[in-house]
Formats: sequence, structure tokens, C-alpha cells
Amino acid sequence: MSTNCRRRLIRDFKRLSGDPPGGISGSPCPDNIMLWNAVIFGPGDTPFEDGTFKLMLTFDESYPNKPPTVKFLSRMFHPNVYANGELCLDILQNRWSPTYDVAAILTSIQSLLHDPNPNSPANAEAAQLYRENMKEYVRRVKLTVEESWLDPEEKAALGEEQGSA
Amino acid sequence: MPFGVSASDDTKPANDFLLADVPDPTDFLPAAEAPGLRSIDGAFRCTICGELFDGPVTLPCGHCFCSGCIRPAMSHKQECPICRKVANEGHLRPNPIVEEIINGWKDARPYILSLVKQEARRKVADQPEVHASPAKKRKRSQERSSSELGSVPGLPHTPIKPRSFKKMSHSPSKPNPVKYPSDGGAGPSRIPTSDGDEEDLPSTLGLNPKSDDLVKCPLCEKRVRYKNLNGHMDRSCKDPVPVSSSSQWSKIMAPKGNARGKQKKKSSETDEDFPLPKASYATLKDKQLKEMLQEHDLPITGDRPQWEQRHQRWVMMYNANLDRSLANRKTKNELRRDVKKWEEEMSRKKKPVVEDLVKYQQTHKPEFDRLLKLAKSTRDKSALEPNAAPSSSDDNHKPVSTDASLVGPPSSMTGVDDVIDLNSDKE
Repeated sequence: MSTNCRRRLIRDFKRLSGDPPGGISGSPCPDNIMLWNAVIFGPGDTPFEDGTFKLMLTFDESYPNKPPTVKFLSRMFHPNVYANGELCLDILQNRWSPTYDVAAILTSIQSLLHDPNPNSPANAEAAQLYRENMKEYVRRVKLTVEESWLDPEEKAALGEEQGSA
Repeated sequence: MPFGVSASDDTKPANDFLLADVPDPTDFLPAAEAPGLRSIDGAFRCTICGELFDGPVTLPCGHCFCSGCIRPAMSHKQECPICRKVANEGHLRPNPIVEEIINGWKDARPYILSLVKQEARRKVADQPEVHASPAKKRKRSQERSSSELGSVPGLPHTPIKPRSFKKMSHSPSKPNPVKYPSDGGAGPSRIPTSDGDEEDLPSTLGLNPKSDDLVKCPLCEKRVRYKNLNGHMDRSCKDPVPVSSSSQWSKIMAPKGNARGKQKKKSSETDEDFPLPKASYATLKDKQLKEMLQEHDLPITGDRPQWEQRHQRWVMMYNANLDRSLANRKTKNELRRDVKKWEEEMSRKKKPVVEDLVKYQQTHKPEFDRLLKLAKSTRDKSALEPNAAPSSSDDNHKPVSTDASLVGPPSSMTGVDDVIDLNSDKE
């Protein structure tokens, strides 16, 4: 069974692996092409530098006429990322175009790390710190960068510690 | 070749879908090794579906899409998906030149791929040890990165260069395996079929017949004036016939066993090339909508929203079909099947749901580790390029703070300490 959507996702994968943008990788789950995993390296010269942020993309048959759902699995501290990891990114909502592919989506997210948009905040605290207290913003971001290197179990434990503290 | 690398990195057999025959520009080597081919193949593809243009149409901005892709896209947003200039379905113009180019490319593509493969084999045979040529640079760097990953079992037994070409041999041996399975190619009906006809024709022509001579048509064996022969054959032997035999003709022309089609044939014959109007469903009563579906032999199963979607899809696909050249057009029955298939796909439309994200990350840890190495290798590569920022650290696990002016080393160090403390607490 290969529908238009699936064929397109296979092509997306070929393009992403054939001509990968720097610091970005992604691939479908072995058992489900509608579910992708991705990793974005925090871009250099930003507080996110060297962070290894994991993402999950979920597609349905309306792709590419409708955008996929994109979610950070790694904890993020960014003005445009919600607490649950979902993104506030125009091209994943009203500015979506069916010509975008996974490589384009991931590149956009990478550049969002570079240039947050504090005017449409998904994380009010991050947006406020970004505008008013850059030093504290950078410190908070760096915590997430270090957290991104941990394994999921370690992270879970860390989350509990923080929650109880 | 890069696709080859990644596909082989996924040593899991479950990745069946990656073996699916989905031709793509990466079937060709990068520009450094096969100049132009990858970009040509890319330029011949619709940026929405990624297939070679099928019924290409051009927008006022000049961008080109498959008619069957841009019409649904425009039902979401009336703009060009590439440049976002305002446009609607009324602006679409078929592009028969592009369609002709694509027809040619479908034949040329597998041929060129095989030539490129041969050429590559020859090169490998000629100079097996040459590594310094700049043309090989990109490939080699990818080789290196993949071998750095260390997790490529199943690969190493193949020598470096031939491997990439082996991967490419997935490319199709036939030009268009997906499209128009029932389309036997352009105009086969005019090709003489029986040997007797073929013998007749040259002998008649050999006599240099005069324009009023009667010659035997090689197709229908009717006697036709020589001057009319070409026109007669162009009309597929359907010369204007006396009224008495018209019923016979309509019998031949009518689709088998379709009484409705027979009745309508006369009026629709001329309508055939006209697009269907879009309906404003809000103003339609259920009964009218049902009639509109039945008019096109579409089922009236399901509920009202399904009827609307079905009719809307039908109109789009019907009109998109008209943007194909006559030889490439699908029959109405094929279009109906397409609409049915589309409905089935859409009924399955559901994004996969992952409940437990922590568990998900644990179960997919090997994949994320692999992706991490991949991302690192591409990042390091782009950092090595002269125009990239040279500040990237060599070792990922000891981040160099390039924002030292913003955040002092002490604060970042405490951050690290915190993490380590928490870790050791846990253990």
C-alpha cells in the first residue's frame, strides 16, 4: 500500500538523508512511516549550542496538504515552545505550504532556536526573560542543553527531583 | 548514494517502505559526479507530490504543478504554494510542452541511469585507487561520516564505490510504473496490426497513386480516395457516414453496457473537454446533491459531508484530467476508482498517537542514538566548510561556551554540577 502521502514521505526521507542540512537528522519509525523521529543540534553561537534536541513528527494522509504535528521530546526553554513540547511556528499552522518537506520543517525549527519570536510567546516566562533578562534566559536554556544529553530514564529522574524540590 | 547509506544504517528489516520503488532525484549522483542530472530530475517533479509532473499546469507566477496536486492545495489556500502569490483554479493553464518533456524523460530516465551506472563501473575499473580528485570529495566525506558511525553492519563487505551504484540499481527498469497502468501509450490504434495490411500499403504507395485513386485503408481495409487517406486515418477511420448507419456508429462508440452513457453520448461528446463547475454546497439540498453525484455515476453512500467531499474531489480530479494531453487522459472509470481510493485513504486519516513520551524515547533509544550521530556528522561537516562559523567545538560533550560575554563560566559550570549531583543522587 503506497498512497500519495506515503510516497511523498519516502521522498522526504530520501532528500533528508541524501542532502542533509547541517546538524539535522530524521527518519521514520521502522514500523510506522507516519511517525518520525528527529534530532536537531542547537545552532552554534546561540545558547542552544551543542544541545541535542529530540523531536517527534506525526503525519496523516492529508500530508502534504496539511502540516504534520511536531513536538519536542526534549525539554525546551524557548519563547515559542509550549511546556508540552509543541511549537508555536507559523509554517506549521497558517503559513503551511504543501511544498514544505521534513527537511524544510526541521531547518525552520533550527532557525527558530536561532531567532525566537517573543511576540507570539508559547512560554511566557522564556519570552519575558528573552526580552528583559538575557543572562537568566541563557542560563535557563543551558540547563535544557545539558539535560538534552541525558538518557530518558535519567531525565525522568531529574524531572522528579525538580518536581519534588 | 546518501540514501543508500542511511537505508543501510537502518539495519532493521521492518523498514520495508524504504524499499518501495519511489524514484527520486537522489537516484542520480550529485552534481559533482553527474553534472545536471539530479537537478533536471528534480526540476521535472511537482514540488507537492514529488512525482514527475502529471498534467502539468502553470500559474500566473510561472510556477508549475500537477493539476491534480494544485487543485486540492488551492481548496485550502488560494495562492501559489511556492511564492505565495494569490492565485485560484481559474488561473491554471495546462502546459503541454512540459508534459511532452516529461513523456520523453520517462523513457530517457532509466536509460540514462543505466548509462551512468555503466560509466561509473568503467571509471572504477580504470582507476581503482584514485581518491584525490575533487569530484569525489563529497562522496568521500559521506563515506567517512558513515563509517564513523560504526553502526553499519551489512555494509562493509562491499567496496566503497560500487556500493553506491548498487543502491542506485533500485531505480526502476520501467519508466513509469505507477501511472496509467492501462494506458497503452500514445495512439497505438493507428498502427497497422495485421501483416497483410502492412504488405498492402507499401505496394499501393509504390505505384504512386494519384490523388483521386481509390486505395485500401491499411486500418479498416475500406477503399478510400488517396487524397483523403491521411484524414481518414486521422479520424481513426470514422469518416462522415450516411444517416442510415449512424445508429451503428453510436453502438460502437457507446461504452459497453452503460445505457445512461449511450443516451448522453451525443450531448456529452462535445462537453467532454469542458471543466465541471464548482458547486457551492451550502446552497444545495440533499436531493440536488445526490442527483449531482448520480449524474456522474458516483455512489451516494455515507452522509452529507461525505457526499460533498466526494463531489468536490470528483470535480477537481475530473478537471485535472482535462489538463492532461489526450493520450495521457484517464477514463471516467479510472477517475472514479481514484476517488474511491482517495476516500479510503482519508477514512484512515489519523495521526499516530504516542501517550507515554518517556517510554517512547526509551524504546526508540537506538534510533535516536543513530540520528544523533548522523546530525553530529553533518554539523561537523558544515562546520568544516570555510564559510561556516569556525567556532564549533570538537568535542560535543564538553560544550565550549561561545556566549562567554553573556554568561560567565561559573554559572554554566554550576549548571553542569547540578546535573551531575542529581544523577549521582539517583544512583
